[in-house]
Amino acid sequence: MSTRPGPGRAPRFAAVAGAIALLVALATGAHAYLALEPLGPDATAGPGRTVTVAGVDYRLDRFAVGTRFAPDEAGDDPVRAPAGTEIVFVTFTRTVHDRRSPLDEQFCDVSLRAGDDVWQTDDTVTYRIARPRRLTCSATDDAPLAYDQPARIGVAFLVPAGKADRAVLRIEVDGGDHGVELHR
Amino acid sequence: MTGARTRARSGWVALVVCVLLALVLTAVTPDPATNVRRDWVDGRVGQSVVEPDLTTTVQQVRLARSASRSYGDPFVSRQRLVLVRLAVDVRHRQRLFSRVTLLTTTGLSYEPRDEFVSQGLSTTQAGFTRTATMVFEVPPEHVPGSRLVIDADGGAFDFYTRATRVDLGLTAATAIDPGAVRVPDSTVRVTG
Repeated sequence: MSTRPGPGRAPRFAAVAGAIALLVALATGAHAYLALEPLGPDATAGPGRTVTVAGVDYRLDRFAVGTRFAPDEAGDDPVRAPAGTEIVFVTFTRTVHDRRSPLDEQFCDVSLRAGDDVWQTDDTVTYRIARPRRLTCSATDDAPLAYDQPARIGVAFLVPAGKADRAVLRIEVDGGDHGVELHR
Repeated sequence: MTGARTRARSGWVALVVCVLLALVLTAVTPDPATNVRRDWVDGRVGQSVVEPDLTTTVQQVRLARSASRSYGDPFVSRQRLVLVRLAVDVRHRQRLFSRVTLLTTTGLSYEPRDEFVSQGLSTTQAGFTRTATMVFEVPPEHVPGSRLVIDADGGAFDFYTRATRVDLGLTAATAIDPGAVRVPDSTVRVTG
């Protein structure tokens, strides 16, 4: 008894093989595309509420929008947004509980999003504004991390005026595999 | 027995046809490393060249032997300096402008001079317009017909990406500025 497809079954066999090849190609392409832009965050939170993602707690402390903020250095002039822009200043607290998550590998990508628009942090404003000592999720020499110890982080963005009304802060971790959105 | 031979022959024929088809397709389809990588948006000086996330307007092109900044000595060249004044409107997400080059008709690619980094294009966030001047140093014989290329910043999936090419309108008869051309620092403002 032959296991080869007979002459009559060959077209059907080719069709099935082609369909499987298409499905594999579709799955491969979809995986690559979704890796570019994750569909959405694992959790969202408003002010004061804590959410837990991948063994880490996130709490939004402050989500402020304005054109004038207090300076980090006493005696400096206030930090002012240039004409036509607004400063968005966000502080949040991050607490690592999961012991399987190494403290020296706490990386996150922080961005501000409003619809299709995405902004990265503005280093000039972030350094000048009165803020928590920590600017990133990573441990530094002067701000080490510890399990179960809250770490406060402050970031600032400069955006065109009016764009911040419906903006959210997106924190992506594990190379974008997990994410949290913090709302005003 | 004859049926088995016929099937084997058909299999070999099918294999040869598939290999020939693959060879033909490889020969006639564009090289993915060059042609398929970019979906070029072409334009001219004074024209707004629109990509989904970027609008580029080359405002002025000048040739010079010397160019100066607000500090330091003028930069003097034995070649030609091509100064491209342009404005870019950035939409949706920040652009790094890490791959801006001048492309000659012979396929040579020139990067902007490092001396003018503060005057050139740099990271610009969504909703802002940056006005800048790119300064390229190019041998005189390669200047005519050259184009400005604003390539995508790149990423993990860097194919079929839009990129801008602007014909700078340079010819062998384009006049050279006699003195040192002053190059202003780049500026950024909210897109109006």
